[in-house]
Amino acid sequence: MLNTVFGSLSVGVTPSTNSYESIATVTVGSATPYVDFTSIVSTYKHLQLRMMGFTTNNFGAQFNSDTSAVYSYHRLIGDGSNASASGASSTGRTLATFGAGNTTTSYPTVAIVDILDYTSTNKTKTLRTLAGHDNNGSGEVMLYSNLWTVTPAAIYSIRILIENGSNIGAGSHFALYGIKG
Amino acid sequence: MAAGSTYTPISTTTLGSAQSSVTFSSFSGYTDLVIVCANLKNAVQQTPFMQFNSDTGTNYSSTWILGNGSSASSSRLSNSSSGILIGDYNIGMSSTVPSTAIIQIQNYSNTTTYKSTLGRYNLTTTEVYAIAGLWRSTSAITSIALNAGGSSNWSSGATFTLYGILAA
Repeated sequence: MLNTVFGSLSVGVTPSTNSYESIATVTVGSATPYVDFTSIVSTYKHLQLRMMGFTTNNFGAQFNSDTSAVYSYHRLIGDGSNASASGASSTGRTLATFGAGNTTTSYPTVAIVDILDYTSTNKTKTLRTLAGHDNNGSGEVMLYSNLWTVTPAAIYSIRILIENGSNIGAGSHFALYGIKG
Repeated sequence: MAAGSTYTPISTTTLGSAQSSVTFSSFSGYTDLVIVCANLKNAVQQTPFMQFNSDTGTNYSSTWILGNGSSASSSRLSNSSSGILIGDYNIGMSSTVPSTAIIQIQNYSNTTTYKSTLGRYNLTTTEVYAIAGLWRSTSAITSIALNAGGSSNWSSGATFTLYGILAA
């Protein structure tokens, strides 16, 4: 290609000791209602979940096996035609919805979820998510914030599940990382 | 138990002169890739795109949301041969004010699914974008071209850093 010109100062970068560590990874072999990360150590400052998945509805998370209606969200969504914003208080929300649902299950949806200060025992837990999927003619991109509105407790387990109770599709991939502080 | 440190810097390119494209082609062994682009300017305002494996077919699409300081909107580009959108669509990046972009490419080496990407683009004086991208190919990604677009060039001083993230 005539217009492909490599950068003039491309250099290798020596890997350095960093503060981002892989904790655990789950690849879904066959459709399943949830994926669990358990026994999460408390040695990090923040957690990041990186996922590529297949589903017909929004993904979400529950912490420490808490299935009560104590989760809320606010979101900003672009669907290719319109930008919209909405939210839901903790009333009736039994999971921290972070979007990424895709009605076209042959196209992967992706999300990056940051779980901030997850070991704090004096702050309620907040999440932020960038998620989306493009299906070549449909799709969405979205930003979510979530709150787990309980008495502050360290997060030691995370369950990933689908908002409407459907299954997580085969081939979905979830990787949890710890960020030191 | 953690599997060890990751988010490894693989390669950094800092342009010493204007270039139409920057290509990364050596990044095997990771699960995800992240590209951090800084000090971006287009010599001529054109829409910048990202292509994989030198594919110039109509296999790319993008959906985005943007805020311009007074309103939010969303749009998409389907069946594009130019690539996945990196920055301002049909406006182009500023030729004077630096922009930044961060691009996430997840499960880039899998050979069973299409490739979905997430991007964030910031031009603090005018707009902010979030972008979902798709490459309709089940091939593993082996090269990534960041094209300034059209007849434009990335300006001297732009930096492009590729990181690899390994899953446990």
